[in-house]
Amino acid sequence: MEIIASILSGRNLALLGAALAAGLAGMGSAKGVGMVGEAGGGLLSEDPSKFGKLLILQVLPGTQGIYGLITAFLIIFKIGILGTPIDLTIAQGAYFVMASLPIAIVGYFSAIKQARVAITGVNVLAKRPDEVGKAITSTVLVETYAIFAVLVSLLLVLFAAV
Amino acid sequence: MSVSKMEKLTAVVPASDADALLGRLMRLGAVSITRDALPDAAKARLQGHAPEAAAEAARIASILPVLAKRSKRKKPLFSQAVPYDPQEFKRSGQEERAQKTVTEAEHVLARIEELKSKLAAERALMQSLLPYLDHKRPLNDPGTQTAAVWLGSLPAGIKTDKLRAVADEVGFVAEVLSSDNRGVYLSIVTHRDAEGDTQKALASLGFVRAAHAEDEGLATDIFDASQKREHELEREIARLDAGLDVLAENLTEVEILYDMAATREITEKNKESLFATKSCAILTGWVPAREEARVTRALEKCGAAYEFTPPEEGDDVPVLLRNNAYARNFEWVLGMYSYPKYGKFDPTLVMSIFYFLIFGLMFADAGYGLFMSIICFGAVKWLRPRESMKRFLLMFGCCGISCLIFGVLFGAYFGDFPLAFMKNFLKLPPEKMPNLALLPSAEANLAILFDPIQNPMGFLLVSLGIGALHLLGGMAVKAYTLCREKKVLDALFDVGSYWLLFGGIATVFFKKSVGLGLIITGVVMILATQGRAKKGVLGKMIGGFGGIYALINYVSDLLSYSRILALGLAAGVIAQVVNLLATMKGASFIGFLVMIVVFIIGHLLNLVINVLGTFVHTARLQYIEFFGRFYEEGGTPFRPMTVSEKYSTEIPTEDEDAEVPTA
Repeated sequence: MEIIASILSGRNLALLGAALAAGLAGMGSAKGVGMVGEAGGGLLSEDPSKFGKLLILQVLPGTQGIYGLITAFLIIFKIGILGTPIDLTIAQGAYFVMASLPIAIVGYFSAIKQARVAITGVNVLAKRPDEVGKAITSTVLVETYAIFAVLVSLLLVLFAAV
Repeated sequence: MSVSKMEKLTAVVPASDADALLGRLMRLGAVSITRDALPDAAKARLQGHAPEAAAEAARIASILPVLAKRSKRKKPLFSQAVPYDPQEFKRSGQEERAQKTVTEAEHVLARIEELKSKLAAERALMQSLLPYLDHKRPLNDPGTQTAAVWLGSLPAGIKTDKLRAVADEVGFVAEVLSSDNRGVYLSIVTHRDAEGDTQKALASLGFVRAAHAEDEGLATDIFDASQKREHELEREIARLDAGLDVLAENLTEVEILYDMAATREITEKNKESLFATKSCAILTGWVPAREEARVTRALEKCGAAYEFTPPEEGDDVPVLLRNNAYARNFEWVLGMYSYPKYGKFDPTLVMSIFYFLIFGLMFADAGYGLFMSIICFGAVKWLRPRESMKRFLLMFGCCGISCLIFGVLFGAYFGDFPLAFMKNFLKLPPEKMPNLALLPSAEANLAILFDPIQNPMGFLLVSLGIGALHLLGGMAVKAYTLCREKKVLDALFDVGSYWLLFGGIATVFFKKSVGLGLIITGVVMILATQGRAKKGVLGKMIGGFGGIYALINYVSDLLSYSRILALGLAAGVIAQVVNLLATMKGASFIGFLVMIVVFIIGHLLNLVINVLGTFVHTARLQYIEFFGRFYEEGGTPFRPMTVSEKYSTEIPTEDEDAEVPTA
């Protein structure tokens, strides 16, 4: 119990929030980018000249990881880890955990869902390269919700009362 | 900002002149052939030599990468077309030399292939002899009258004790010559009488006779001979390879030759889509109306009979967009979505203005913007890229200007680099830090308006404001196109009613009674008119309520513009992190070096990530939110037949009467 009590501090909770945001969203993006990369490998072996367009499709599910990273950075800024750390109560620390949840959860799942749409886009690129713009657009549609989630997370962190 | 008027061309020439006609029209690049409609007089398609021409072009294409790899010619960042004069190319013997280069390179490559397979065989031979090099008797040792000698291997990991035991029991002698991870290599000596038993015993252990057991002579001798042949082959291959290096000096000429062959292939393919009567070829196609004079001249030169007719109802007329020097750089963004239908509104200009605004707002940073503009405009000026690449670069160059403007307004210069520099490097106290913003701010900033990271809600309002403008702009375009088609009432019902409603909502904050009046008028108009196309009273009512329900779309579309804030914050926060890392070491020589390195790497990375993100999300706002309001898409882009210009361009002959080369 003593160990738990010594670990459980406001600052550590806030760091948990940062870790969740960067970690979960990053996991989702890593998985998503990997899935699209695997699907694209076959196409590349047949037509390496499509690399540029494939790259766009592949990096799209990567943005969630960046959103998670930004949220984590903002939390780190806010609690002054890189400068003079400020003291947080347990409740204030828990606030940052809550604030990180939208991008952590939505980031993880939307990256994977977006990757699945991007994979169908890879098929479009293989069969009808002229129409790949539409495939990219429909992939971008999925990202909207990650953007909304990161917006909520960012605003919560920016307006945190510490 | 319009879709070019098209005319349908029907031209008839003697079949023997088809090549010349196609040659001229392809060089004009103003005619696209239609392949479907069969004129009455024609029965069949013209005969061409497309397969042969395609094979020839493919042959040259297969040599090109080999030569390109070896060429010492400087590679430009963007591919550029080498200008050449077809007649001069032929006359000066360059064409012959290019042909020769291809033939010779083909020959050399085939020879190298052959030698390489021989080389592989020699290497395999040496590999298989390696374990038996210590065997001091000929490989095909016949043995003596009473004793037989075999060479071979047992699977790796066999115990020598076990082998000894078996050997003693059956009565043969096994000498281990060598072993590796694949097997244990042995020479076996056995009495002729015991040959059968030995064979059985060895087989049960997994014995395999050596592959070269029938070769004459000592293993070392055979190995050495093979090694000598290997060296000879290697030398020969290197010699041939060096020959290819010499051939690679003719790369440019071979590239021109490729373009000529590819042009011929295109000509033949086009020819096969012409129609043939007994003695004539009939060409049908589309020509932009403003190119009519040039096309007419070319047709006259070929002595063709021709007519231009306006498109008829039901024709799939190809779409050629016509825009000013600024907006035409955004046509490819439109092309990624879809071209407008023929005769409908071309949204490129309107879209390009909003694209400019939204891109800049989403990636508002003066440093990045300036850098982007310099790179893009510089590349266009100094590297002279081809037309499509040029437009791509010009578009991003323009967007860079927009980023620059918004960056100054919102005070971002590579994020907060000037501030981070002052704070961490120059150690300025907080009260000496600049605070320029018009809107009061507690923290230091360089913004003219306000800093988005300090005041995200303000930036959200700006984002939604430009979003509202974008959506209203889309509705205005719809109203304009409806009025243009003389459907003024539709414009009033479908756009005016919503505008009354929106205007009312805005007015409520100032003068409640007027605002409410406008809202009610708007809602009533929507209820009364949105179901007008439906049949029956019930249908009309449902349609009316559907019109009210559609308001939800407007709200969700508007909220979608909050991504401008999210992406703007993303770029800003990452830049802040980079700046913090860059200036953390403080003011010292090492600190300065660290700053330069971190600054360059960090900001380049941030720039690349955000340009891509901003590009796709700005495009999405156009495609979904903006085009959704009015766009009638689905046109086929006009793709005129042209000559192949992958590597080169023909210098147009000044004398228009000159014989057009028929490839």
